[in-house]
Amino acid sequence: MGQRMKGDSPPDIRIDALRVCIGGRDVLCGIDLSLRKGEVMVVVGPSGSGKTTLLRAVNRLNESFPDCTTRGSVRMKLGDRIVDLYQDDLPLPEIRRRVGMVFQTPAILPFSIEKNIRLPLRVALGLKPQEIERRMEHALHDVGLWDEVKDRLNSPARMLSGGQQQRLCLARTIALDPEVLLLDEPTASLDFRAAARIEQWMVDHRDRYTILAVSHSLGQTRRIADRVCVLKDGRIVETFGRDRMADVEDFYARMEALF
Amino acid sequence: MKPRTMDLFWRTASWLSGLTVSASVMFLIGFLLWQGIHALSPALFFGDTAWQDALFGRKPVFEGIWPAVVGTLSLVVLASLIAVPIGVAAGIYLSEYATIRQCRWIGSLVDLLSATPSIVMGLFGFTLILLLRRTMLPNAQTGLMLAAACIALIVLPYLIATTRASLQGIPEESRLLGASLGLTKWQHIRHTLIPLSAKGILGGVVLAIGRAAEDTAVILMTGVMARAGMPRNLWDKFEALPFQVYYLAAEHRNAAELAQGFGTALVLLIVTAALFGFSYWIERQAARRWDSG
Repeated sequence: MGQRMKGDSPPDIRIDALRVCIGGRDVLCGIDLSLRKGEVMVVVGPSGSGKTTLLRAVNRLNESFPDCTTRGSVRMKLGDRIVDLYQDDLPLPEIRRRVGMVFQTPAILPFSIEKNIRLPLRVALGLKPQEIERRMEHALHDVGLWDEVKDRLNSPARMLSGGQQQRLCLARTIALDPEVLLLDEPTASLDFRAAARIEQWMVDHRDRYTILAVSHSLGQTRRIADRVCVLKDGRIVETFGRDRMADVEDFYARMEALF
Repeated sequence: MKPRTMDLFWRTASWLSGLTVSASVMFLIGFLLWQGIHALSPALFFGDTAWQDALFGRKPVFEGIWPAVVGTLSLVVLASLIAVPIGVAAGIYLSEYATIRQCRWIGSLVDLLSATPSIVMGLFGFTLILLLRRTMLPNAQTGLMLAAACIALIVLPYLIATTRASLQGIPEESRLLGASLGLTKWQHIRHTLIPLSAKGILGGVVLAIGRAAEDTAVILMTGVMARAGMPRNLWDKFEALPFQVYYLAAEHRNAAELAQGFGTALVLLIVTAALFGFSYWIERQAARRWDSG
């Protein structure tokens, strides 16, 4: 997990002067942030500091709430063009397919393991059965779930353990072939072994996706983050890289002070 | 009062309440069984007509309750066919599409509809026929279809309220799931929200079926008739079990006819239970198909 020297290349996501207001209250204010493929960016901060809202601003999911207004810009590289999510007329479903998200608790559908992955591929992308099959198998291999479920793809997804369910959700998201991944405390409801697998997955795949994750655990943040963004009361109070995390004592002391 | 005493008091009170409900239901069923069980016989259903002839409609049934069983089943099926799609769709609208203002308005109207006494609904149906007779359809008369439509209006609030509540009971992250996977609003409702709330929606359907089967006041004004026989078409007069119970109880001339009334009530209970069973069976089939599909 050596530090990457990517500072010179243009960012893959650039958030400028982002302000999100929900129910008349400013949840995020004046957010400027740049993300690059190859770096896992972890957002930390006290509860209610706006971490989840920040993630949901990157796939415009906040707009599912009727009383939400967003200002500022979120520009990102999608394919070989730069789009401004809030200005350009990219349809919402497409934005959300290209900016995948995994939630805190495993959000499985009341279907079989197989159908959990197939459904969005068929309904949202309208793919042919062979392509769906190929993507499903690939995604399940990718999250290390294939060997555990290949003989029971037809059994209900709720029969899987929490860790397996969360990896299924991850597989479902990456099967849609996103370029950005938003991971909202994906290990919060898992035991340490299941959490470790997901952490390792993030580290192994940071070159393929631009990853923005939220974490409540400072230990986990130290293990996976290439850069850390500390949020408090809807504002970024600090961002720093791996070099500032090397000294454990110093890192915890700094966090203590910032929270 | 001390916390321990309070705890003991509420535990006893809850226990007693549960016991009261169970005991009342057991007593009711026991009483019906005791009074009605010996009236249950082929003769109660088919009178003097042979059951094969009655079942296949070859001969009319005069003395039995078979036409009432058929009438009630037709009424429930017809009313459900009208009310379930509208009620579920209205519930989806209120939960997923309506603005807060629309919700408040339409919600109040639904509450008003649920507070409408069924006799008023019956009167509405009856007046509607009078209006139709004076205007477009001089031959309009009360019958099965009108009764089913009025019953559908009566059960709509149950369907709307349960659909809306079960959709809104879905946890936030699951509610955002469809959108996060790039589904459009309707795809999200159809493929994630409805499966996730299917149990609650079917609960509403069961409630509606029960209510449709037992209502007497609406059908009294809209087309039920003693000794109407089997309905020949959707616009025909019909018999129904709850009305038959009322009629037998009110007009009985001897103990045997009263026993018939109890027997009919028992049959109504069995028919309703069978309809509930059927709904749960559908729910289980749907769940199984989704689970492994």
